[in-house]
Amino acid sequence: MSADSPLQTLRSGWWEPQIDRAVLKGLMKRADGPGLYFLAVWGVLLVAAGWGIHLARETLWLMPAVVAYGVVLGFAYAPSHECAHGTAFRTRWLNEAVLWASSFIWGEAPTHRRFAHSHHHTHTWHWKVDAQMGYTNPVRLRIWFGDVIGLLEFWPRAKLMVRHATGRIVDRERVYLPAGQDRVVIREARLLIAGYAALLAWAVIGQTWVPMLYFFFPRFAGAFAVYAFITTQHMAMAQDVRDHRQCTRSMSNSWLSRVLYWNMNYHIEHHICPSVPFHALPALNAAIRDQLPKPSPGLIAAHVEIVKVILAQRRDPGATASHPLPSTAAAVRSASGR
Amino acid sequence: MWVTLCGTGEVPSEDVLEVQRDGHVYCAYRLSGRHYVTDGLCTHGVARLAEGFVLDDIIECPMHNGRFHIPTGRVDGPPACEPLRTYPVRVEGGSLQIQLPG
Repeated sequence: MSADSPLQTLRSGWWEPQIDRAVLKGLMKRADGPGLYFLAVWGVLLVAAGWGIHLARETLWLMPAVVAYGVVLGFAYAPSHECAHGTAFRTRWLNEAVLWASSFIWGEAPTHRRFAHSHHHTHTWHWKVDAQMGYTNPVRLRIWFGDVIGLLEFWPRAKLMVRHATGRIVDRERVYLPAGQDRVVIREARLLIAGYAALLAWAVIGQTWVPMLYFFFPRFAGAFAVYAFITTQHMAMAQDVRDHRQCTRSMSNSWLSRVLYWNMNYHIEHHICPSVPFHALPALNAAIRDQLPKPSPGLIAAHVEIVKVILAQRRDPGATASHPLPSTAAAVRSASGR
Repeated sequence: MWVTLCGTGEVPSEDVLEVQRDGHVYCAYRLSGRHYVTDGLCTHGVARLAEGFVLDDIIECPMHNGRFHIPTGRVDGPPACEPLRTYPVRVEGGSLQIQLPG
């Protein structure tokens, strides 16, 4: 079908890269190996950090050990996100099993997450439309700080889960949640809460600190690390534009960060082609790099940019991060006639 | 009523071809030598399934990764909830035909 077909789809009007269909198909291929490898690295780090907590018990090192373990634990976000897309593993039951385990740690029921996140992909960073856009430009410093430490997320997510567990779905969720899914969402919220309650009951009845030291305390104390990554995805970027290169930020990260974050530093690439699994995002980047802005050079650089934009927005509320496109991108656009 | 959709040779093996006819979007598939035709737009959101991914006998939507079983149209994975319409097919002289009501 020609590119200028009058057919209106959810992608209509959004910028799309020029990439050979066969190449893109190849990048969409699913595999179990990469996900198991990323999970194994995460698991080894978790065990090592957990051993650190064990060694630090009854010493002043306990708090840093809990924070370090929590930093690793918080990256449950990454497999939970990828499995919610259904692209983490070729084997479906493995995808669903990891989705449930990581979503329990992350604290978001799978089905609600899937639908809300789908909406985010449809309407990426469109204010009052995107179900996962929690703030608008101009951004305040307190919003940036709250988002980085996770405070903006924990309380609303807890309230959401309790509300769903009590059987209440509100109008704004109707936009992305089909009525037929109500039962599933409610059941999943109850299941997660029952799981957390069981851990608390274990702590109280069993007179043990284990659930607190290895789950609840670190989950709060170490959340800032993964949120530092998540915050960079869209904050201070342009909003209400149909070009992921302008409303989304990619970063260059270290090997360890990429593994823990399941390559979500390639965030523009992920939004452009959500069917491309995490392990193929570097290859997708290589295929369309000439059409993309340069990634932020790292996590700290991304936050420096965000804070600079926030300060600039005090004078000019319309200021956003500027990520110039390479000259080759202009050539591609011109050649495609779009 | 049988109508011609496309030539059988146009349909890639183990993959999908989008065909528009009379304002309707179809997807034609050839899986293990057998032809199948479904509607071409995802039932979850208006996305072109032909831009998605064929994995064995499953078509995955490129937009939100909803999945459908190609031979039957049943939903294989969320966020898709409504099944995909499938069509009876036959091959006539190198043409892929589908049966439409009326």
